[in-house]
Amino acid sequence: MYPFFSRRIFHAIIVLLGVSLLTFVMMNLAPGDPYHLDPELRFNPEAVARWKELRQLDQPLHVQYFSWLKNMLQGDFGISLVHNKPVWELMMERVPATLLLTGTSLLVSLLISIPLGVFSALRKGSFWDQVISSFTLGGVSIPNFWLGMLLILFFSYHFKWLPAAGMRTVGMEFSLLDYLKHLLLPTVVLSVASAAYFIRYVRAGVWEVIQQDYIITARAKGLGDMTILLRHVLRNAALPLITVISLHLPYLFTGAMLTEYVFSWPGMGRWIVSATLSRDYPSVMAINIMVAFLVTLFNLVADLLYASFDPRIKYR
Amino acid sequence: MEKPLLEVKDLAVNFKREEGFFKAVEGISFKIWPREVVGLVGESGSGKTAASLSLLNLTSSRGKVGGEVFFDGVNILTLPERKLKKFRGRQIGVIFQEPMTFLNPVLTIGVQIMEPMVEHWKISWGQARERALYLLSEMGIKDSERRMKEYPHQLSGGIRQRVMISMALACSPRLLIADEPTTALDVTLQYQIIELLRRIREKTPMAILLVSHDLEVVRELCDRVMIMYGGRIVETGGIREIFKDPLHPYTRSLVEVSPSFERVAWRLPGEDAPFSYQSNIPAGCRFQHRCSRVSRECKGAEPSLKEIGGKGWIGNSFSFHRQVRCWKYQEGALEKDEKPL
Amino acid sequence: MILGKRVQKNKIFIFSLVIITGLFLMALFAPHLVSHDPLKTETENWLTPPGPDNWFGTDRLGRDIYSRVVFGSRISLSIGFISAAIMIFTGTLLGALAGYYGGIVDNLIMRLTDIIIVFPVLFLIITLISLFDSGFIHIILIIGFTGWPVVARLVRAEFMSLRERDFVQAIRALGASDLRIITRHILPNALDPIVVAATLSVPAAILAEAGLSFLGLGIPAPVPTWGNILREAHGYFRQAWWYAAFPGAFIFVTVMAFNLLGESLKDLLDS
Repeated sequence: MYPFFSRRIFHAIIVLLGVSLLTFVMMNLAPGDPYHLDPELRFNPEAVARWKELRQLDQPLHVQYFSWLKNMLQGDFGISLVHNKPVWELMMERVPATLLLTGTSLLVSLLISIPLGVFSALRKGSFWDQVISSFTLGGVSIPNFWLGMLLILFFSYHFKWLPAAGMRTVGMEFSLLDYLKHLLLPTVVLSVASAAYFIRYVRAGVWEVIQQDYIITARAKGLGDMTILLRHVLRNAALPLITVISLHLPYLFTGAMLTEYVFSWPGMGRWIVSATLSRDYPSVMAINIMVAFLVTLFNLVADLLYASFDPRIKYR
Repeated sequence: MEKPLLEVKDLAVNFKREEGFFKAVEGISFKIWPREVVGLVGESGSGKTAASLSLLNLTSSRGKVGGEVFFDGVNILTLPERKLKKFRGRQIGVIFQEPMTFLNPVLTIGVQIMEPMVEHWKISWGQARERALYLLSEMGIKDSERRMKEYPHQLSGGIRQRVMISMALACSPRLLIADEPTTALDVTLQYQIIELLRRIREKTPMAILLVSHDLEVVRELCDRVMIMYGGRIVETGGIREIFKDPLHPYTRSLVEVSPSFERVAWRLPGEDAPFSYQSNIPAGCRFQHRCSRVSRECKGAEPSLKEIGGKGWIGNSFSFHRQVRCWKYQEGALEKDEKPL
Repeated sequence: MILGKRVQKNKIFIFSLVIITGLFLMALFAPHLVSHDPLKTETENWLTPPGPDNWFGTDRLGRDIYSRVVFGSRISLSIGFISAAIMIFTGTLLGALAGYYGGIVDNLIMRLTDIIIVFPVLFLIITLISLFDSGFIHIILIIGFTGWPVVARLVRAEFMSLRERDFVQAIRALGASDLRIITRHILPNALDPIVVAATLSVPAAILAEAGLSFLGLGIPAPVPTWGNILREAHGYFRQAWWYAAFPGAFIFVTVMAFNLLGESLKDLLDS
């Protein structure tokens, strides 16, 4: 088991190094130098040289890379070119919002998809299975920003039930209800695609498990349907689902970016858009690293979870 | 006189498939008496596994089971699933042929042995554990404490099959269906499992339906045997009669090429049953394409299962008839008589 | 022949193909299908609801939304197809190399894949766009060159299993060159899943472009694309539901048609 764990952790570290290297290369591909933006520096070669020296930009690339990496590990992602604030501070303001939205959506979509997927698999080919399948097709096909706009149109503008934007009512004291109201629509929008995607996998996974010989054994023992489902079917079907969830995470973040934009949700997704539009490279790169880091971390956790749940993997 | 433990009347199993209607089992009837060990022999595709699984309605959802199955006088096929479950595992235990795929890979074998007891007897896991340990040691498994915590993939094939048997015996069923219990094992293990089944047979009052393609395994364990071909029973009789005087040409071919006991791993000759779908079933006798003494009569109408001779007895309480489904069985018998002994 | 019969049986396949063909014809004959110049502004007619003159209403500058949506299909479909082609080509090439050669080649390619795959696609695309500017060609290339890892993994798995098959071993023993084995013997056998992946890459690329344009990072205005129209609509759809409803519905239907096509194709090829 330990060789498997350490191999996985090593693998994750390699991926993270690659992510940082790729990001570094992209940053250096950026057209023009950052100091071009500063009017005082632009016509003063001496000042430029000093500016470069200060930021070690006169060093060879690999030296720059390692010092950049070192800074990053200490939480120094540089200074935002737009906000004139450390990127790290900006990030800490926004990461929680994104994690709240993605985390809630992940939870909601799993709560929806597991029962529906199981139901669909057990009643494969039935009317309700077809209804659910149509829903999943729609769910994976609908552009979530469009869905968000439609929901805002109905629930915020037409019926005025729910707020259309932001994380809380500005100027209002903290109230859980207010937070939940703001969270509801974005969560629905972000959950639709994930839920549809998970339903398909749960359905296929459960269907495959119930074809297995050991389910006949369980039936031959005279076990109750619920016992068979929970103890024999779901335990086996849940394992691949862990992998599916971790592979889905990047798509969840992509969806979150668009959702945040539609609902003016103060998270990383909105931030990367504004940072890109204003060419705030340090921010863009920091967001990329952060998101990739989060995904890698979740993938690692998923793999380790898988390994500790599946008795077969420990001995490989 | 005692009543039969199991009485099967006109059992049929049909599978709906894309290509058509697949008749795995057609109109078979038999009885099993308490404490009796009956063999059901046939090659793959003969319908023997479908027949044995259909007794508990365990065929997949695409399989339709027809006919009647009386267990202790109750027609269990008409019972709702909820009541049928009370028979599965508790009254009738099943041993499957491939312990690797028929054991759940993510549950410890302890849980898998204990769960039928917890389900049917409503006892605690702790109490079930006592009996599971006892069963495992009865099966000749050493350090059963440790084995209980292991997973199927950690066990050897022989141990897995012993686990499977313990599972089937957990609730002391009155009938044990053993579907090819030795097929997936290598020769020495086959022998050990046969010995184990023989011991179980002697120690418990349970009746056994042994499903196998291997006549030698059946000869070792059974009182009586039924031979299946193409979804039909073609011959039945006491084990000694069948080996001494096979009547159906198919049985005869099985018995004649049957090896001595040492070669347990022997398999049946010829290919699988050549017809599986309704449209492919020939008019007349189903064995005609592989029969050496086929005549016009055999191609006309299918012979019925005729009762031959007087009653046979097992112990002093159960009687049965010798049956054969062949137009020409007497010719076979004659020829056999002509042979010098 | 057998496939032909199954195709006839599979109504979903036909249905999705009909929709896609319709969309294609719409893109091809766009100038003949519209009554208005999609770029012509008539500010006095702004935000007119759908009516006999403007079927889908008008936008904030009085442009005819129907004409803009019809012309938008050109961008969406061409980006969808060309980007998907790049994804499939790159993914197949890298996946084939990794799967066929294994060892260090495999390791290098797969680590690269692992690295790219942990970036959420749109984040990576946006970052690249911030470096290279957005423009039709750039967007096609960027979407294409960020979407290949999934295809590469799939092709690699196919190649790895096919490589070990007897017929490949036999051909190799006869001294066929690697290139010949890969292109003539393995690739044709791995084609089914690649075709399915290709079909499913098109909607992914279309959604990526729509998302980008919606965020204002795609094809620059005033070129009508479905995502661009939705972006403009974002500020106005409270007053004018039609502004967002129609272009979004077109994205939805197009993506759904390709997803349906891909799935029915998978069923057809699997059975």
